[in-house]
Amino acid sequence: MMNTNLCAFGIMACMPFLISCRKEFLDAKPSQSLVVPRTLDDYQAILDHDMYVNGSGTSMRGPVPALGEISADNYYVLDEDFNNRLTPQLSNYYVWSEHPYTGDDENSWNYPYLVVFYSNVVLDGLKTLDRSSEPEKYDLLTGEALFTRAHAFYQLAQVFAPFYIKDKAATEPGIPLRLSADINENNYWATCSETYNQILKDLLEAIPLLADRPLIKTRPSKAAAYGMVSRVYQTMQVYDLASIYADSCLQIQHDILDYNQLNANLTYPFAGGEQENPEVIYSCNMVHNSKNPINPLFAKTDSTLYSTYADQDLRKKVFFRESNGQRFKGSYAANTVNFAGIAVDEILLIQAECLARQGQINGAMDALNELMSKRWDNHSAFIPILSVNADEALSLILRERRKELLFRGLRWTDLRRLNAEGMNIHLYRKVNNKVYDLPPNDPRYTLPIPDIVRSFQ
Amino acid sequence: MNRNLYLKVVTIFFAATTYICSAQTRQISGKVIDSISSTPLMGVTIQNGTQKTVSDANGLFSIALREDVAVIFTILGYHRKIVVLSASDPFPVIDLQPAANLLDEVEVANTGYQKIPLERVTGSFSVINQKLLDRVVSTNVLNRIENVVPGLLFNKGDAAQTDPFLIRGRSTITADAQPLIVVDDFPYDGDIRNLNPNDFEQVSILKDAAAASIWGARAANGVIVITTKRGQFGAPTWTFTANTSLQGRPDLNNVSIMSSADRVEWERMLFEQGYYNNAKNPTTLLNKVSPIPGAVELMIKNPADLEERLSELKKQDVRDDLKKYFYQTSLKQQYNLSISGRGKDLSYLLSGGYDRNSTNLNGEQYERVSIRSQNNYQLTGKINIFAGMAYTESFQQTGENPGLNLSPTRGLSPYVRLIGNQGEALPYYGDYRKGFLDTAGSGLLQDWVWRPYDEITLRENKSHVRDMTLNTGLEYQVLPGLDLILKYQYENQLEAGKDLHSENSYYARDMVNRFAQVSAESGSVAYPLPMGGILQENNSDLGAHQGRLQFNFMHHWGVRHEISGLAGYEIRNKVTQTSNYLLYGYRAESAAINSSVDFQHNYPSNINGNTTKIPNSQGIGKQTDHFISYFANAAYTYLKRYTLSASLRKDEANLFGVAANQKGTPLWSSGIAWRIDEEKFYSVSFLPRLKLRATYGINGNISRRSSANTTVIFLSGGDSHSFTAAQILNPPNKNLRWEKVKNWNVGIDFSSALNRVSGTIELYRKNAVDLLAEAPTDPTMGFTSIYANVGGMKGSGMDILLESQNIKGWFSWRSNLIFSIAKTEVTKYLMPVSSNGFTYAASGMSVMPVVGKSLYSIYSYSWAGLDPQDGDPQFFLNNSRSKDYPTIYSLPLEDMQYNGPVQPTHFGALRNTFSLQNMELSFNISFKAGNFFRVNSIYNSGIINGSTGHGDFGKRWLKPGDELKTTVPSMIYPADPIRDQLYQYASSLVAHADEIRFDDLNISYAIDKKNLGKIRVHQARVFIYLSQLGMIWASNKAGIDPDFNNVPKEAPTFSLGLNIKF
Repeated sequence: MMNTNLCAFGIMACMPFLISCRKEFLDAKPSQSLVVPRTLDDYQAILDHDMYVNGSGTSMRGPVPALGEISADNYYVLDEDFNNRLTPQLSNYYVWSEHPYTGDDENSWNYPYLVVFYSNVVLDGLKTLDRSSEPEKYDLLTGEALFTRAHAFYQLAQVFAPFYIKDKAATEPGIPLRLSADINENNYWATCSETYNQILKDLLEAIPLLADRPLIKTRPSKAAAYGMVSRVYQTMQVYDLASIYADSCLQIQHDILDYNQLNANLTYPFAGGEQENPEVIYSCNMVHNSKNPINPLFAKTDSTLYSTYADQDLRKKVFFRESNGQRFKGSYAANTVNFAGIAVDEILLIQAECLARQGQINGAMDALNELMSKRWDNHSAFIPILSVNADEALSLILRERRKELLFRGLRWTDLRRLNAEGMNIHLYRKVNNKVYDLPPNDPRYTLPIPDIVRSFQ
Repeated sequence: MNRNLYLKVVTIFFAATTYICSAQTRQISGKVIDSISSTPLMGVTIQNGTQKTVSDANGLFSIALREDVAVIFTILGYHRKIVVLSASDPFPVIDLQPAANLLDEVEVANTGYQKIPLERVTGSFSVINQKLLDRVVSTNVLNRIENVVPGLLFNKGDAAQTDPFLIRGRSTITADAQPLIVVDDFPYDGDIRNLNPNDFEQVSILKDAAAASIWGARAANGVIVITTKRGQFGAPTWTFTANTSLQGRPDLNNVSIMSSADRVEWERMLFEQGYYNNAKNPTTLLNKVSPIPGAVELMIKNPADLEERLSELKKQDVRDDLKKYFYQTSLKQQYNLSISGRGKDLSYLLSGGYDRNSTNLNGEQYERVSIRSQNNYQLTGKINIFAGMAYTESFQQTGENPGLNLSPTRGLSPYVRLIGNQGEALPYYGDYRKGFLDTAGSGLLQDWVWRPYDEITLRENKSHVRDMTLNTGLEYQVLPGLDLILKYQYENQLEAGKDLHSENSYYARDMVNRFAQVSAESGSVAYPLPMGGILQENNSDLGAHQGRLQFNFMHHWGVRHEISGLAGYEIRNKVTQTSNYLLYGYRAESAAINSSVDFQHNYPSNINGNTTKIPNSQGIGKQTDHFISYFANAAYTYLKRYTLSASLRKDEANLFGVAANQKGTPLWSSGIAWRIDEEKFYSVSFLPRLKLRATYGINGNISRRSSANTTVIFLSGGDSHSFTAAQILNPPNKNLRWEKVKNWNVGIDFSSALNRVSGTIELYRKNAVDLLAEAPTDPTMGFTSIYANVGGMKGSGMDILLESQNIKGWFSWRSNLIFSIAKTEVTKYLMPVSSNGFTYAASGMSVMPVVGKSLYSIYSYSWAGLDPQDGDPQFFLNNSRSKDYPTIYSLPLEDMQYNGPVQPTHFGALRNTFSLQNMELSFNISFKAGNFFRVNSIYNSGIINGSTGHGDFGKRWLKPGDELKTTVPSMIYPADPIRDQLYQYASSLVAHADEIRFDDLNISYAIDKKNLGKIRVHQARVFIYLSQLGMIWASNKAGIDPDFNNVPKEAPTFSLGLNIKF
């Protein structure tokens, strides 16, 4: 009997040992080629997957939906291209269809949310790591991931959420805010104000964690976060704060590319790409598709808009090429993909606009002229633009804003904002002799949630 | 069962219970012997209730008993015997009848965790005993379990490309469908070819939930449990087995090819049409290099005797050379010697086997040496220690001999000669034109000509496998009726693959020449890819540790209640490491050097001018499987009539998600069995044995394709920067879990008076849920699809086993019939593979799930005959004949014809055994039905591009009226690839695969107990075995053997063998 007890005791003694190492045993990686990210470097590598996170190169992905630009008024498409080169779904967007979806994947939804997923994988992963071993790196990564997620949320909200109006935002729907990478977690459909609160919260939290300037421009930086906050406040029409953050951004990075240095005859004059461009603060691109109506291979720049460029304005040559209409070639990405990141020119224009709105006409015009002088052909003297009237200054600045930030994914938000403020911009398109229009503040300024997404809710 | 004995036992039990109060305990001693040899039997368990003892080496035992009680004598390999030990007999001698002597009657199934008498099971088991295993001659174990048990299907012909073998149909979409193979109680991880079937004592097939669910998350595909031989008989017994098999060359004419005459005339037509104009006056490198048919080269050259030479070609058939020089008669030899015995406290078995095979392809060889030992040591009456080892070493070698598949990409010309009149290898310009090779590299390069016959010996593709399994453990009787079992097994399989294309091989010369950089001025040649052989090495190292702790318990309360069961846990750690690398410039006499090879630089190629890098191949991999499992099962029997069984198992693995490991519900089963024949009311005299049983339970299946964790692969840089980037491959899925197959099984076992007819009929239904498959997901998650537990399948079927003794006596005739129905279909699949039906038709044998259809199915375009005007193929489109090929080509799947499954739904076999004294003759006839295959035919575009072409070319439509005689369209130039592809997948080219085959025939002569000189022979058997005897009947009208659909047809195999026990 003694023997039996001893034996039983031995077995019982083994069990706890087995249980204690059980977790480790079951966490073993099934395959070596499948790397389970565990270190800060692994997470940095995830955020550095610029093809997905920033839409670099011709990956056709990126955090910025194309639907806004597709719906905006910077371009038109010839009937023959409309009939032959667009998919039904993409041509529906062009004519502002109420129900554009025909069953195709909507990459303007999918890819920005892929960026959200990448950020969440990093944020979830960081929670499992000990900050104290490398606190600076840890914080930097946290800041990068927060920025990346907030930036993608902002971009989605510009297309799929109604325009932010302070009094209505608390009741109007926003976008699903996915704050975890767990696929078993359901979507949280936030209100418009919750969406913007989350974006601002993430960005403001990121600012102290980020470095002033990034090692590479596909990584977020303090300058990018200030610039982004400035843009968000501008969208929310909180111009005083937008101006402050624009200033903070410009204090870190204030370089403007002199277009006189460019070879305007190149197929893509910004040949150096975004990483090399001194003006670029944060490098990222718009979701692309060869059949997108805004594909420069067949999108023609609005002729009225084109006619507003002065002959001495270098942008006229750097941005456009005659090809049965004016084809846009001015993407900082230096290919058919549209640059949609943050650059000094935009921040200067935000600053100028905000100052004008605050009545600081001189400051506003200085900012505008600082930019314009670098766009002017140095063979003829640049005459600074002057204004004595705040309203005139504002309209000058807004006009230059449109001309400077062409095809950067900003026009749609500007249309929504300016119409909300009473600018009364009515959009028309003529296709196959039929006229389509989009009146100001039309519900179609908010694109419908893709059918496939609805089907899962 | 002997009814008299049964009555006796009941009476005795009854009597015994009345004695209990008054009886006194006393010691009874006796002896147990083998009923045939009269040798003492050691290790026999002698039990009465809780009283239990074991006989010693001399067969002696002693047990404390109350007077005149029934005692049960059991030992594996012998029939159980119940004897009343009476006080009046001072020294009872009990003789036990060896089980092997009762033909085909098997009593015990092995689940890998316990051995259960079949009469007590509730679940679905099939058992193959040693005699049946030994009936077949084969190197591989799988051949020996084919067509002998119901429910186990070996797919043949085209269907073999889907699942090689299945138990009760496939019930998974993407996970592994192969049944789990267990050898000596542990899953076997090595190559199944390592196992020597001569070492096997028994194979149990576990089919339903109650049988298999003890294997939990790996049980869904069924389990094949192999038990190896143990030391058994008292005195040392030697067993020697030897056999030799011969198989003639395969029939290459079973592969239909375009006749040489047709081919030459077709090429003449193409030549005249100008198809070869570019080749005639080549201006580009491509035109100089790209091979053209030999006949066309002649036409270009246009010698005076052109017609004579062309008619020479028309008489050639490349299959003649191939058959004579590339194929051979195969020879397989197998030897095995074992010794086993049982001493006082020790039983042992030592076995060694040697196999040597050459195959039908010249240059292919296989050798295997296997050694196995298994020893048991009875330490005390309560502790039994066992240890064993198995070691297998095998060598396989193949040369460069793909047989008829010599030129798979470009197609073998039917009139090419490979061997000259003196038996020398002739060049074949199937890769490059002769004109190019003659002038390439200004004549500075090494010989660039391909001589396929020489190549056979210029490649050594060797695989060397060493597999070692060590096992040890102990059994300890904690209390009477409660045993503790500890088991541990370690397996290590090392595989070294060495594929050497020697320096003279065409492969190596071609690679060297392609990259050679010739400087025309200086006449020098640089070799970025160094001259010499090319060696590819692939190594793998598999190590698996498995440990198990288990309690077995058994208890009786009188004769009414009996409970038995087990519980325990096991742990398993399997690691597979692989590495591979490629070496250039290999020379046999010195070490290979490829450190000087620059893999980064792009070199212009001599064959197309494109710049490419020198191919490099290096890699390492590691796979880890970790399992912790807890299991228990129990069976309760009341009055020997009613049995209830239940089992439970929980698996945790590093392949599952956290949620599945922590909260996952266990897999379980339950069953019930009812021995109607034991009921008092039962009085059907012609059916003395009748048992009903039913089970339900859930088995699991796992996939290694998905990971529960977030996994990434690293990229060397981003698109716009050079920092390391990481791409996420799959999102974290903490709910990732095993697939589940819910199983219903009902069965009936019966036998008629005197066992004249006995059998089992089972019906089952399977419902597979949580199958791993791609599914569309909310793209808000960041993914548009995800691999998760979302699919479903269902299956149903029937298994029948019937055995009859038609004639008994000095001449006997027995029949064994197995018949199965197994149907499965997809019930849930969320992500249609394509909206275009053509994708499904052209899918070959890949998985293309469609709800409501079998996983592997054949779809086709409804054939509407040939157009009488021009011989174009026509198809039904909206119920009318159509030649609108682009529209038909883009039809959705719903508008296509569904022919049926690729795998048989009905299958079985009939084995008849005749014996006349010492002679025995048996043969097996098998059949398969319910499935379909695609008939090959001519592909118009292919024969323009130079592919071999099908013999149907001769039956093509030529003139109006032919459409009444043939279904082969007109052959046109230029071709319309869509027209050709639609014809390929026409319903007219789908045939039923129903067939009946003559599997094998065995004639043996056995000698029992003879003295040959000084050696006393217990048993000797000589036999002749014939297999692969061919098709008896097939339902398809074309006369195609569905097992050899347009591939070389195997010839019958003839074997001669000998087994001796002495």
